Amino acid sequence: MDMSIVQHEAPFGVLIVLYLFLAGLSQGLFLVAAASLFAGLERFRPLARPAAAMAMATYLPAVLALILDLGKPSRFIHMLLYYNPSSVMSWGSVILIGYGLVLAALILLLWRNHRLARLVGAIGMAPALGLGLYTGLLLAAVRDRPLWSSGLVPVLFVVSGLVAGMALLMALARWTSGVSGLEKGHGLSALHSLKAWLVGAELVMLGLHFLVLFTGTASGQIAVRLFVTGPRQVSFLWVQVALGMLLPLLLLLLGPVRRSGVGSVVAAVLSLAGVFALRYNLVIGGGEIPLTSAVMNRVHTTPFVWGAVAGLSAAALVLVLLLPRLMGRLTSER
Amino acid sequence: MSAAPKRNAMVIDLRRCVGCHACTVACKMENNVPVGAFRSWVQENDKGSVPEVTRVKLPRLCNQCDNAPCEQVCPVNASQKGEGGAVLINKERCTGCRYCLAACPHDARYIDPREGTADKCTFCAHRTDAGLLPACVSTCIAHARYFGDLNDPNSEVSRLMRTHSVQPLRPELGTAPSVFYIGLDESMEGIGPGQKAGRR
Repeated sequence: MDMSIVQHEAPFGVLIVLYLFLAGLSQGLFLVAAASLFAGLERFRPLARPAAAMAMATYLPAVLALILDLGKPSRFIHMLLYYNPSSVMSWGSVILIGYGLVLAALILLLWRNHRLARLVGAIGMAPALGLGLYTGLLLAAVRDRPLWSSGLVPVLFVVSGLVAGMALLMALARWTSGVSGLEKGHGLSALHSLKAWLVGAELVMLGLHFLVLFTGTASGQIAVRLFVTGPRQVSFLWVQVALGMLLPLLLLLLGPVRRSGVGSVVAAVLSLAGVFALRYNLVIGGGEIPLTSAVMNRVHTTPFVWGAVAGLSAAALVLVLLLPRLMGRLTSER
Repeated sequence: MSAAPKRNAMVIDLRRCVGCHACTVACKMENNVPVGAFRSWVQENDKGSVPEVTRVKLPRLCNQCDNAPCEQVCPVNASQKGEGGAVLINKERCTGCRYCLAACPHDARYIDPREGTADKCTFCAHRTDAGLLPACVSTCIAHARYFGDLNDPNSEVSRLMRTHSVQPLRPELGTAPSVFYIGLDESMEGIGPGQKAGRR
């Protein structure tokens, strides 16, 4: 081995990507659930229950992913015992706990048809937005990595979380229709238009971010080269942008496809893949760009990490499919 | 008047470094550094074009920044400055969240796979507390490394800082490193980001 070349560790791995994806999904679903309770947004009202239940279904595995990613998982409690006001991660642990409590309260109130649900939903929008913003800020606060260090990243995380949340609701519209009374074309077509706007906003932000990188410092240009013509080209340009953003946008804008159930589900699944790819590319792609070495940083992945990713993804999927139905059954029994 | 608190620093004279990697090996042995990780290492780069090619060497280690990004981002305050000014990790508190690895602009940190916690150079705190020099300084065959208290005007590092033009790595980040180099401009001239020796 050439002793003059030291390969360093990329800071974050795939478990963090999964955490950011599931947390974003949960934040997006919560915002949809809370907004649907507002006056004037009655057509979204059937979404409240399935969205809130799915928000919990993605929140729980997200927290577990975060804990399992720690080098010392048993010390996750330290995150609550010690606090550093200058650390975004410290803010995050408070936000994550607060968000979980508000989400649990909202589910309970929605299930009981309580009139306080609207109030709790409205108050809960703060920690939900906080969850989306902090996950982006976690990366943006790292000054020395131009791909991360932008005020657009937290906003991109919130918006893409919303897109993912809406996409999941659309993909499972038929599955949850028994629970929510959500009929095809009822609140869904309005959700289609909103999602199309949000995907458009994502594309604009992403474009601006890369334009600033390209016209900025040399290290920013290295990041652009890696993503546009380098080894990240497939996962960024083709999977994230073309398949995960442009194609679903096209499907949403095309009238006939929009009205067909299959087109809508395909667009939703592609959007979900796009949002996952966005986080994957930012976290893994941004982390493997070397700061001081001549070789790419190595990403920390062990069989345990892959096992945890597979297990938690499966758990999230099962919970997303089962929780709304379970909740619906409990409601009908009352 | 009470004396100023210690601020230990290192001055590395690049004109003297021969790139023998004795510092890398001594550090590994002294601190039982795990396979694949380094607390102290030497980056090298070939500079110029044939026939006028030179190999430049840049010894690296944690810069013990006075305004340390790792300290700023640690969610549990596990990274804190010790008495001599070196940033030390409280191993009983560190959760291994890796955020300090992301924040360090010098790639100085790693996760010790045996313990699951973050680790890095401490300026050999266990040795300096006992009045010894850090292992890399002791072992340097070319006398390229100097260690001492910047707040003591009679220390060797203070004298070198007065008599030589010294530079830290990446001063633009404002982290106030405690590792300084003599001859950095000359040796790194023409080496940009993404090249073999990496960014300064």
